[in-house]
Amino acid sequence: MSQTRRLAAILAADVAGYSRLIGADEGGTLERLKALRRELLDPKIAEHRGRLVKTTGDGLLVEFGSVVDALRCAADVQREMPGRNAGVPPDNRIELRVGINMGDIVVEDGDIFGDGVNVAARLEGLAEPGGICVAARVQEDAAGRLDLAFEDIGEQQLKNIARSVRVYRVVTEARPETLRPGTNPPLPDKPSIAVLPFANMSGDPEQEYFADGMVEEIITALSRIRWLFVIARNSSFTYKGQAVDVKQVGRELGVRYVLEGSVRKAGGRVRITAQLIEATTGAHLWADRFDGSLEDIFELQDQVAISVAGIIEPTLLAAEIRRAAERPTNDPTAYDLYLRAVPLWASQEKERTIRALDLLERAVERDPNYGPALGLAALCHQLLATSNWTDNSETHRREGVDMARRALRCSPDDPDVLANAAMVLGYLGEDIDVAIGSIDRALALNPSFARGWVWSARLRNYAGEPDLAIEHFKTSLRLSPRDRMGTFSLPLGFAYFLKRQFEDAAAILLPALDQAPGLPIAYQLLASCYAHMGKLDEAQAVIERLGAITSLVIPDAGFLRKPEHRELFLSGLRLAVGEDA
Amino acid sequence: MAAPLARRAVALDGSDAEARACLAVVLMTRGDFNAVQIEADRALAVSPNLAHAHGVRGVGLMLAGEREEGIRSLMNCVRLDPLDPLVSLRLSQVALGHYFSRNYEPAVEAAKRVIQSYPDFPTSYRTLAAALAQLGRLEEAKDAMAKALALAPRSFDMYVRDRPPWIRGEDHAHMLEGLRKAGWKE
Repeated sequence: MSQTRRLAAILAADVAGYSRLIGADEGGTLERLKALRRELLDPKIAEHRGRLVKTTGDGLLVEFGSVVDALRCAADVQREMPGRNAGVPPDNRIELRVGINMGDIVVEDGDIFGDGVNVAARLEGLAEPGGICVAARVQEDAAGRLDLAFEDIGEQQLKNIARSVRVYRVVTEARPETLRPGTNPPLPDKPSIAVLPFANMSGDPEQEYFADGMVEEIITALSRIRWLFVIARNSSFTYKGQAVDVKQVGRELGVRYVLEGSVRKAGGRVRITAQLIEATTGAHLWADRFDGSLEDIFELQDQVAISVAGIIEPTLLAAEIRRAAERPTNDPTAYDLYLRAVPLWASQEKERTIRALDLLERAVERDPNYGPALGLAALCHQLLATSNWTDNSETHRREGVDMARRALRCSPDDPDVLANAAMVLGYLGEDIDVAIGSIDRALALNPSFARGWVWSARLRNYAGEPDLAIEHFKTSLRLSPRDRMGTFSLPLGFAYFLKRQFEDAAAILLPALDQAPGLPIAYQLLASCYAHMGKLDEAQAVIERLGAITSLVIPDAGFLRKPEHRELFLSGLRLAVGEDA
Repeated sequence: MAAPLARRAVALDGSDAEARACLAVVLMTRGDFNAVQIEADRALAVSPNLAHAHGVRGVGLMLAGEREEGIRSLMNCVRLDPLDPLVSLRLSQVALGHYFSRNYEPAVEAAKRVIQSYPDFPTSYRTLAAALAQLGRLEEAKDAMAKALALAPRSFDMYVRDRPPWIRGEDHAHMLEGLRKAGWKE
């Protein structure tokens, strides 16, 4: 009797529920097992250079020279089994459990023995029917070399094995989204988010419906945001009731961001908490809570959903801008260039606006039909034209109008593009009704679009509807109380000014100078406001500060469609510069 | 019954993307692909992430003969809702799209992937059987045909013997050709 030792990959497999199958139909089961060996197992073992050591009635033991061969063989077999079982009643299905270990074995008369074999057999016992379990050593050797994923199920104490063994489950199921087994879906080419079911912390099962309904409303609201990729409700809700790792959810659904939250009820009131997490890093981007009465739960659901969607949009945009800034700059995409331009434009300063326009022109060169870049470029041209920051304001005015119209043609259903184009066309003296029609459509498409409501407020001011402007501005504040990217509070001050509530207007416009220190219209409005209040010294001081950023003190006020509003604005400015009103 | 209700839902709130997507599904069963696409596009204009609308748009385009765009839309649906139980249906429609395009290898691959994840879903076996038969892999085709018949024998009455209104005549004939090669007997 010769005895040798060698290192090998050992595959142990058995038929789950063998006794039950034999008990139910001995002859039929044995026939089917023979067919399984003949048609699938033996060919696959041979294909992957395995050696069948022995069969044991309900199982078999196979030796391979490499873990990669052993795993390929096991995965091929397990992937074929569902097809073989199709049409067979569940109780009659033959399903295999497989364990694979790598270790030192003793070979004697063709049979194999030793710890390496015993561990493989115990791993097989841990596998689910149709599944494969492997030891950590197998996983380490195979990771990255096979189209398979491994799920760590932790240290396991195996029967009659002294040491504990770290065990991995092999993921062989096809990922439907890619039609490739064992791979997670890649991240989409735009910001992506999954909203997980909110946990019901109230101990009241009735609140499940409330929490689920609210999450559905949030998904619906976010789904309207064109530049976002939002996982659908059915997939998100497969995580309901599970304690999940956000990073894992991100991988499984192929999303960068995850929103999770909870609902807690006390008396007739409910507290909802929500937090936005970057799944790849686990970093918290935003968290907040919302309290409300349960008297009208639909109202509360709507309110929370629209608030969450309203705040998530600018938060994600800011996160994407940070990511774009951190990416290498060798070959930026149109989207990268657009993202980098956004904060430059939002500063509302001359030099940065010029830099933003340069980036956007490069974005449009790469993709001439990229609506968001065209829309933002139009805004830059409008700002350059109306702030008199260049020698060719008329050229910028024409370019702004042209780009706004191009943006509308390229992206007629994108709320962001609709809003920016409306803003440009409205400010540059085009048909105000067309501009208002566009902004209304943008807000109908995405009611939680905070900046859209600010643009609407501005357009309402231009159209001579300051009361509506105030209402729309306050809506934007509710949606996004902190993030005011490129919007500031000028429209609110402007509306009070048009209503001749000069004290209220000045209280808002004065701090706006700090928010937008490079924006001429902020100074012009405040100066006019002070002048109408009889505060000529203050008005003149503001005009002096204006001189540092533009030579144009009294602008064309054609954007104000009502003659009395134009006159109000211009007469105040004339007073401020010492002319007769 | 379904059509008036779907139309009423749209009439109640024309900006409700879900309602429009449901109307598109109803229109699909009548084979009115043009109207399907209009309603699905309207739904997507409101809610570009609505997986259901991508799905119905995709199957409409695929059945109308615009296979490539249809398959793209179907895959958008699957990507947006990867764990939805209806994913098997969408993926089997992808396999069907490949078959109708006479791309039999991708049809076999797609059908096998569906079967691997959803072994009890019968439609994919029919597509698999027909595609394998068109490739001349008759033994495998007959095996797939046997499984299709074992899983859902009555589905052959509904979808094979009679042509559903949403399958074009030439596509139905093409499927029958493949199934006959795979051993199906009328």
